[in-house]
Amino acid sequence: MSKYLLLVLINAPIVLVGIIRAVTRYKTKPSRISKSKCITEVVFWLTIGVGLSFVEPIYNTLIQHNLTDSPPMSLFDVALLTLFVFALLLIVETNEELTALKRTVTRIHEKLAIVDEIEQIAKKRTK
Amino acid sequence: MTNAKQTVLVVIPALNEEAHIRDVIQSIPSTIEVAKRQFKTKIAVIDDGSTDATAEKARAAGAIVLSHVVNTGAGGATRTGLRFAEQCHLGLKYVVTIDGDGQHATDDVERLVSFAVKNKSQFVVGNRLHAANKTSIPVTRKLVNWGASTISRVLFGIKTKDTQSGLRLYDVAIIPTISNFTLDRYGFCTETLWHAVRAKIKVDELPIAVRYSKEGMAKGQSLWSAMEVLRDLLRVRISG
Repeated sequence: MSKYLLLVLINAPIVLVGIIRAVTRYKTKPSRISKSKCITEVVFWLTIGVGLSFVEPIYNTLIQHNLTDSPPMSLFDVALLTLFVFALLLIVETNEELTALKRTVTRIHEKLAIVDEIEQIAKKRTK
Repeated sequence: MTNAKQTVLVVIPALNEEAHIRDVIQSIPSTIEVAKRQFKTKIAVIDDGSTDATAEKARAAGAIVLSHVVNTGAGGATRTGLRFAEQCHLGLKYVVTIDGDGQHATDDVERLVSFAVKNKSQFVVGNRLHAANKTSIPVTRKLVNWGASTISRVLFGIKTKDTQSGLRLYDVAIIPTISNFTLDRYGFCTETLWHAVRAKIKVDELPIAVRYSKEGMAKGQSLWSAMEVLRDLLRVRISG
């Protein structure tokens, strides 16, 4: 099997997971991300997917025009690229989790300050 | 008991402002009269995790004090103030935000309210960047304000001249739209204007006076702070 095809086959599920996760985050009610953020993420993963699909023609073009003298892709390169794409997925997911966590902490922080003061105002009124 | 929709809440985000907070609070008039309408003023200081006696001094001066356990930034403190305005049932008509370092003349609070009542404005920004003020603004501030306003115009289509002004007036009706901003630091000034632009809320500007203290100059003025604001604004623009 061609190593380029192997690269696409291994990475396609990762790219798909990235796209599905972005759409799910947007479509879940209430939305956890905005529409533009969802679009940004989908475009990001599609770019990676399309980029990986065209690795072979890009490499061939570079060789034909003497723009590179690197050897064809090895199995190690496939593993390395897959690891890189997987790391990207982890980074995006972690970033989303952190953003959601930050939003929750901020909301709790706000609520604490407001509820505390509203209680004090109510106490003063009843006195 | 306050009359319905006859109160102005003055929100003062403050971080370690024990030197100025009492003077700022006491200089705000207890009533504002505009076109035969009398507005009572209430003052809410948002103590943003101060390590000095800002909260105690503000309470002693008669203000409502909302305390953040940890420092969140000017944006976080302002958002708490605006959310408090939504929930406090004080019969509010307007919310005015003002910096706690004494850089704004409190006469301008009255002028802002007067302007809003007469022009039926829902969002008024105090503009420091007018000809009469330009000589009193330090060069670094001028640069930061100019840069922020240019970025706001290019990235967000905001036409307001002074996007970073802390002296602002909001009609209570628009607060649910405006208080949804996400930035905790200085970039929130631009983000609130962006929310207004997107909701088609007209933003008016009123020339105001300004004076800078040494402490005020030290806050948020490093190159890194400016870079942080730029990064935040770019993130907001991309991710909405």
